[in-house]
Amino acid sequence: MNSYENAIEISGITKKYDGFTLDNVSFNVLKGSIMGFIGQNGAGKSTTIRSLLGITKINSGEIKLLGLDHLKDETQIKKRIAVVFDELPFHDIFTAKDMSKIFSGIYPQWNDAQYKKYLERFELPLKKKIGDFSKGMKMKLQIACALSHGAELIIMDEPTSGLDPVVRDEILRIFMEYLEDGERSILMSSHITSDLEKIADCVTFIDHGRILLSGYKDELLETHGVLKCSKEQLSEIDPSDVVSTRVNSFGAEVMVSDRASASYKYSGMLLEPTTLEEIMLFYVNRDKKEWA
Amino acid sequence: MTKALIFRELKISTKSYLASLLLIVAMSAMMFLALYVMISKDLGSGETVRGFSLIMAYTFAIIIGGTIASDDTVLKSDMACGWHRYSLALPLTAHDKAKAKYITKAIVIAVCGVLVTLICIPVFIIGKTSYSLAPIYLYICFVDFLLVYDIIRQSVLMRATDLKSLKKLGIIVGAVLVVIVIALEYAFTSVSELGRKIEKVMTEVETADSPTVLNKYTSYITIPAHVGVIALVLMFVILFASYLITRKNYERRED
Repeated sequence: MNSYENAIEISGITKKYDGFTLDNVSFNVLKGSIMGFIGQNGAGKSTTIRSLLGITKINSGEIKLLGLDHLKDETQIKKRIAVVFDELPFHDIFTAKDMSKIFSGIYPQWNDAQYKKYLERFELPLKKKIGDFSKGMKMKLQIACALSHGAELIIMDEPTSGLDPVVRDEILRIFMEYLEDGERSILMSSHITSDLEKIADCVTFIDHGRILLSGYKDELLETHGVLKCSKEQLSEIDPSDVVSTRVNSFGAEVMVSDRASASYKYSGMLLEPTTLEEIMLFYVNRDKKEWA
Repeated sequence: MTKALIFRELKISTKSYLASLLLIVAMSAMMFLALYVMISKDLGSGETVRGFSLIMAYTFAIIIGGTIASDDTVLKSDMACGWHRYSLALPLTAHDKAKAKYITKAIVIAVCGVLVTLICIPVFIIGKTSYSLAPIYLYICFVDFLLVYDIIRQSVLMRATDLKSLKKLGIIVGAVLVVIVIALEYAFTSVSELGRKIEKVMTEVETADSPTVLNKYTSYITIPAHVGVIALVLMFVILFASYLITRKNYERRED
């Protein structure tokens, strides 16, 4: 087994479609960390993930997973990673027991005892057809399969979308437990920013095929803030400090990317901490002078 | 790994095969009933019964051959549920997937060949005619033809990126096949001597109740032994070619 610092290294990925381009996407996922990959619908999250997994061909760029080239060492990599998609990709006629038979043949490190433990924990029946499972059960099954062969890297494309808060919370706790040994990593794309705020160590924000922000989650939340002021006070704010401005009938909210500096410069205004969701909203609207 | 994938293929196809088997059993029952009525009511001469029993045997061969060789349940299911895309993220090579697919196909073809043999035994007994391998040869020839069609269809359908485009391509391929079959039939009956003979006999069969005509017809469509053996060898060649083409298709990534 090779040693590596970054579970995922993406450098300059470009992928062109009619009407959309993944443009020079670069970021790394540190070993032992959870990277939240956020963006609107259609921002390029799934395209990036499919490029990582070799499902989609890229026009240019380099991708390394677990320190290995994603195409040259494809089979070796895929024995050590797991994937979770937003929809269950298993046929409805199979049961959880059938999936164990299938995956035990596919993954050399398949751990059936571990799989059955997850099924018990998730309260999933062994012999019931997957077609009769609820959406939450299907996602839990997919996750149970992903966690049962000692994968060093789990790549997930919107695994919690469409799930209720109770199920989402349960799943997120399991991911955190899975990473306790410090040797495993997760890349999780989502537009449910509250989930990522709970568990992500780092966050990468993509918009219209471009990476806008990438860094430690806590650092991003520390450095960004929202200034609340009246519309008349807007003219006092230096445009270079502004990410974007949201106006409403009560006043204006201005996102700043340097909270420490803003707290000195605009001491007369209310400066509040922000959330990932707000960061996403304000950055998505950064090209507009003001938005509602 | 191969066992796991074969298990997967067979489990997905089982429902489709069982449905086809039910259809074959229903058709067999009807045809046996017809044969029984002919015999018990003394409705035809021995030759008519023999001719009819041979036609029954050929019909089973074609139906069973057609059903199993043209089954694409797995491809459609994989596209519908997203397995095809998901499998690209698994440690499965194109060789692994193609190998499992064609081993499964070979097993099913062999099992259906045995089924054709078994169904034909009572047909020949009731028809009081000596057992002939001709229906088996016909089964093999028909499977060969459909395997070639399957290669073409799979190559086209593998270019689908979702269920919608899969259905669209499926209709196009099906329509093209119908046109080719009609064109071949027209060419066969108007150009070749054998084709013209068969067409003449079919007209006679429609207008005259003659056991001789029936036997003439069955003799025209009886596959000689040497052709049957060639078809069997060809089947292995086609299966290998199918494996190579399918492997190539599995190597493709989404654009």
